[in-house]
Amino acid sequence: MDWIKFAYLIPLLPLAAFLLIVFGFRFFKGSRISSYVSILFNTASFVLSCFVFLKILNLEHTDSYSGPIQFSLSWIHLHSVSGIIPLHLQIGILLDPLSAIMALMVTFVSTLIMIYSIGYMEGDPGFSTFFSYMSLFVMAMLTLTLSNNFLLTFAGWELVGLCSYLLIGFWYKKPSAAKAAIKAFVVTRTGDVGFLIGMIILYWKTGTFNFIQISHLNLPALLSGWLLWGIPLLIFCGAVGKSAQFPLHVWLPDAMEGPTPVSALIHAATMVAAGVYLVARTYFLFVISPTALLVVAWIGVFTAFMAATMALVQWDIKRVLAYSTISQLGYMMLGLGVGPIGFVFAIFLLLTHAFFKALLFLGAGSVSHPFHEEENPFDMHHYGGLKKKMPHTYWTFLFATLAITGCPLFAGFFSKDAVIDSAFQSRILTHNLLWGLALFTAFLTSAYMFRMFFLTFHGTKEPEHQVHESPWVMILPLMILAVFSLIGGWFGFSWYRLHLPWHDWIERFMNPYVQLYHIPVSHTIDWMGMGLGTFVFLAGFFTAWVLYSKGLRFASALENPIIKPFHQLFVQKWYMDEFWGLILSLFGFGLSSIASWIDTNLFDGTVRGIGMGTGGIGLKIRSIQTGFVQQYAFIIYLAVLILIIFVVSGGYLWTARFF
Amino acid sequence: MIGIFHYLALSAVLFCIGLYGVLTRRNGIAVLMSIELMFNAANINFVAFSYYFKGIHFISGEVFPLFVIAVAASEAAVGLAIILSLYRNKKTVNVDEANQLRG
Repeated sequence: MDWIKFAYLIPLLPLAAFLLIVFGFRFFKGSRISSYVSILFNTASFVLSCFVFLKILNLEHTDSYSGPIQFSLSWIHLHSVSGIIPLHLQIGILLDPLSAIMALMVTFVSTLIMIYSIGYMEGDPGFSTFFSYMSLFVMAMLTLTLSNNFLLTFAGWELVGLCSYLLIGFWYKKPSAAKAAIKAFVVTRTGDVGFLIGMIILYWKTGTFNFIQISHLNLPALLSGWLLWGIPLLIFCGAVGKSAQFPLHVWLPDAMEGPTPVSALIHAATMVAAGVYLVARTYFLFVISPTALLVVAWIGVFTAFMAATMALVQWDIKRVLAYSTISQLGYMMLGLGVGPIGFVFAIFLLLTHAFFKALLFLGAGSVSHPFHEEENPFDMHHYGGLKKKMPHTYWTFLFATLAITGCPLFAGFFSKDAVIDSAFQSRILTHNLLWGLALFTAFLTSAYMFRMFFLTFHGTKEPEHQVHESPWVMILPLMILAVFSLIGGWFGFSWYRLHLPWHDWIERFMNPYVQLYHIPVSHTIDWMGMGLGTFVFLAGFFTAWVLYSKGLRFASALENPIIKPFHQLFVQKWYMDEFWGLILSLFGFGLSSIASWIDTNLFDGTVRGIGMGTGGIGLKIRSIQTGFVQQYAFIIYLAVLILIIFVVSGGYLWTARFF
Repeated sequence: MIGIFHYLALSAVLFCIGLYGVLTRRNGIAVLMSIELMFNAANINFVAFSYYFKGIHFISGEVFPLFVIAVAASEAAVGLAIILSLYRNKKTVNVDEANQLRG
């Protein structure tokens, strides 16, 4: 049986789980059945993704891969009327290496997160609601992953935004959670406007939404002048919002208000990955414009740097992780921005990052579990010396930390450092600067991750609470993810050419893209890249070790006149919240108060005037309604009499002159 | 010699008596009876015109009153039913008492 024909079920299965929980809510409420339904359907979706993935792998292996596979249905078809472009909209799925591997990652990580959630959300009154939202979230992400046109991608895109709103504000009775949900929704929506405009201009110029059709067009000839770099940058706006790039990154740290599995899902598999995926999916628009690529690269590297500095000074463990996500997303954008040379590595980083970032968040949730009575269970001031109490959490967390900081042999070493190195090798303008900043950020990454690690697990502090290890249902996903944090990187060796059987697997799998974008494949061992990567990892590790594990709390150093302003800047998050607040209060508030005045006085005034006028007239003439039927009959009689006189006397002839 | 004008005059007199009754009587049953008078005034008109302007197509003028009588009978049944329920609720058939819909 050809499983690939059933690929459309991949997003539909989580949707079925969502509908089942929503309509069976009465029966599921408070029981674990809803979580089993979610996990069952999600696992089925994962299995199907595996089949699709293996099928494409097999096609490539036998050299019978003949381009992306599409299945589409006609949705709306309007014929051309004079002067109007014909409208032909499709819904369909697109299966190629990029979407197949992405769907595999999304379903795999989300299934593990759902299993973990059984333990984490135990006893929550919104248990069933939570799992229905999670299923919808996965469905939305899979829709945008597998879609073959801009329109369906946009639909999935907005659904992802909606689900993030619902889940970040899951504990909506807490005012901060409600605010964070609104912030996430509004900020990402700001970027979506750009995406929508870019999409419409592109349709206007090319007459199709289909990715494959557009990529086969001669785009430089079609898009003249500013459109050549304008369209990719408009679409990039959407990615900036969703993937939390500077300057729209402000929503992601606040999104920590949601339950921890939600953070894991948003940071690893769904929400923020969508932006990077969009840029990768529409990469044919970016490669033709060096300007657009340069902007993407600089936004990426600056976001990576800025987020890393903010992560250095946070005391909330989930916020540290949030900034580290922003930083890693910056790396992915950098990889895409330096040109085709970094494309595969950016995708590779996206995949491996999903494993270790999900692991870090789930680990943080496991750590905070005994502290749930605290006002903020994620505050690292409470932690310290947890190594002995939570051995499983400790070891899995260590794996994830090593992976993200780029310790040799772990996933981040092969993916993140490959991105940094591709910046060095690229021919893009200012590539040396990009590379230098990226490398320095790698040092910061190592420093802040180990700072967090030491503060949480090491030290002599005795916890005030009865600390215990989390239940097995939470530990098991951690262990699976830990394994993938280690071996996940081994599939992308090509950069180093260490000869294992699967050494350049990711590059071969992405071969259609390598050929499409003429990605140069280097077959030399890059000792310098490896060495520098290891060096900055060790430097960051020792910095954190000296400052935090050795107990040298550098409180006095913070008073240093050189360090203090920087520390202040980082603690205040580079004043980005204040910046947006200022913009909103200057432009937004002024504009909205004008609009408000016009609304209350002009529109409401008119409407109210009409309403009150009608009411007043009604009050005046209601006395006519006496309720005496004979009076009404008398009035009718009089009226008929007048009409008869009018007709008989020839009055109509007289009136006719007026018309 | 009795001509069409005599019939029309009779019809007009009947109609006016009926109209006067409808507008002035307070007893619901009397109002219904007055309405019947107005119906019959119309019927007389039909028959009279049919008789004096005879032709093969004028048979309708004689058939129409039959329909009017049938409709009037149904109307009387409905009207009496309304008055009956009015009496049950108000213990009176005075139409001035039925003024709940007054504005």
